[in-house]
Amino acid sequence: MTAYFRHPLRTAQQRTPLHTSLRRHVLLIAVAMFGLSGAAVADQPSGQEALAAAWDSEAGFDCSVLDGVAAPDSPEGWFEFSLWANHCYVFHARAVRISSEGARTLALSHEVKDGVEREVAQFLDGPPLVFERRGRIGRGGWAEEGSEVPASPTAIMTHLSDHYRLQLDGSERIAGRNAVRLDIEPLDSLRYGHRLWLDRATALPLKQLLLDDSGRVLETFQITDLEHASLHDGHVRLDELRQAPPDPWAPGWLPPGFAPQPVSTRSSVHDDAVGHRLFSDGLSSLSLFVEPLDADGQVLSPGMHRLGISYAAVRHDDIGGQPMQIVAMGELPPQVLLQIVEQVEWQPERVAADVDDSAQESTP
Amino acid sequence: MNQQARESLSALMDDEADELELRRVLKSLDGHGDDADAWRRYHLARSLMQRDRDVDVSTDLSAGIMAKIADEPLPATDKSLTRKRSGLSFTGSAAIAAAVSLMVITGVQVYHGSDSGSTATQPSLAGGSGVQGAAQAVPAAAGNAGASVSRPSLVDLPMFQSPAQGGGGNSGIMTVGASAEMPMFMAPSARQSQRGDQAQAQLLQSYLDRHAEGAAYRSGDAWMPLLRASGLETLGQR
Repeated sequence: MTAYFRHPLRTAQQRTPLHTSLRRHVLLIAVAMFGLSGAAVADQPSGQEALAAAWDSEAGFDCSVLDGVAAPDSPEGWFEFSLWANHCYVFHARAVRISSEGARTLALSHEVKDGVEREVAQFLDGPPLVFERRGRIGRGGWAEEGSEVPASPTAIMTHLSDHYRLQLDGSERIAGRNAVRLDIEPLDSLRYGHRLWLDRATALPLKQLLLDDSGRVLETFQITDLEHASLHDGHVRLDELRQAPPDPWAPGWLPPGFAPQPVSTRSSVHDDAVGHRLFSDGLSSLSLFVEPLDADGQVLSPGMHRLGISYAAVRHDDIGGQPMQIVAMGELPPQVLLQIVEQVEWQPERVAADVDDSAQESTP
Repeated sequence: MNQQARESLSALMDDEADELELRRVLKSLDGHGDDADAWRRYHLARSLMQRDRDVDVSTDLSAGIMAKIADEPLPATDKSLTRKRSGLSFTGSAAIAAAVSLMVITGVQVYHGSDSGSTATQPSLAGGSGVQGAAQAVPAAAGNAGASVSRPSLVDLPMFQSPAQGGGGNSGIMTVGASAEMPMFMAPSARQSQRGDQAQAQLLQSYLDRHAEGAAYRSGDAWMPLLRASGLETLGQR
């Protein structure tokens, strides 16, 4: 069961059309059964299989599947369960965030409306800051010709155990609820570790720690009171397929497992020339910003910066005959960001001088 | 600023200046804009070391404080009004100094709410390990605004000179680990004023906002990345 869960059927299916149609078939049966009765799903021995198969590009993820899934018996199972639960549970909560800036209490809410999620976090201490995010379930990558891009949770589970060791570590009581402790330890020193406490009833993360390479806690996020957590009755939509923008630059090196994420962001402070690409191994994320250095705009000083727990390596250099600013930013060991920022490749140049760059293989 | 004025400022900050010294400093601040700047930088440095983020660096309060002191009734001394210094108790002058620094640090809280870096206006200090790094870097930037501190630039670092050799795969990782000991952490803006650091921190925050939005896209923990943003940009893709 463990091995099966770690490698969801979906990834293997993508390559063979026969399996794909088989999966669709399973999905149809599942959907039909939900229509008849929810209880029928619980009896289904292949309840966990439904997780990886219960999403569809058109309709999105059917949240009612979570109701029927038996409690996972593997750490990977718990983690995948929690990834979906994050999208599917509607709740209000009080939480506390502890970082280098101290502890601050928060009011959180997660709603789903017309298949679109809405998350609101409001700081209850200090200035009344409100964070709002609307979104759908993300995709594992940019649109690819001829293959379906998996939903983010499925994509994360495919490679997670290549880079992290997941371990269940007993039960604890968090926020008055029974929780399962899940330790996620990186297998190399190129990323941070995580420790999660997942609610036994819903698999929602009740407490999360971010740990640096020496095991020091960098950030704590803990729900103190989870109110009215209920499963969304219906589907949560998947993000549309996004086309990868044509970039004249690409990272020459990334830590193993980091894959491009189909994200494009904007800022009211930056002009459009500030390109942003995000890469993630499923748990850690890093951003690359590349922009031409012009005289009038604001620039970051070259070197290593730190803001909160996030580091940013900044490099100014002539690339493709133009002075450029390259920023690698993320919650990663700073030396990793330094190496990334130094090895950004200018594509036209690489085409011209293929031999020179043969030493630098970019990760897929 | 001359050495004497600098010492007076320093003494004042440590509550070790007497009233005469206080008056002298305030008077000198009146005439010299850069002295006033130094005063503000000292306080900014101190409050940053104490991790106080309610710092208003822009407001010049010295005029108001001068007026306040002028209004202050002179302490009742017996007969020797001419000998002011002996009549003033130490606690009296210390109280004035404390009031001064209190007002400068907490000031008017224009910073929060209206300003982008408000939640995380930690200056973009290069720091190895948190507090220590900040404590060391701030005075360097604040105290010696004129003195140039030369630090290795990014490209001078050993690891940057031969990226191609270490590039690709796991061999590159070893290179990084080996050279990441000392020169990793450097103040990118040692020559800049505190004001410049504020601007850098705010600019950095705008990148962090975009990074946070992107990081919240993938499934998993959405709250933790989200809360690293400044909250000023609308997050998420519709």
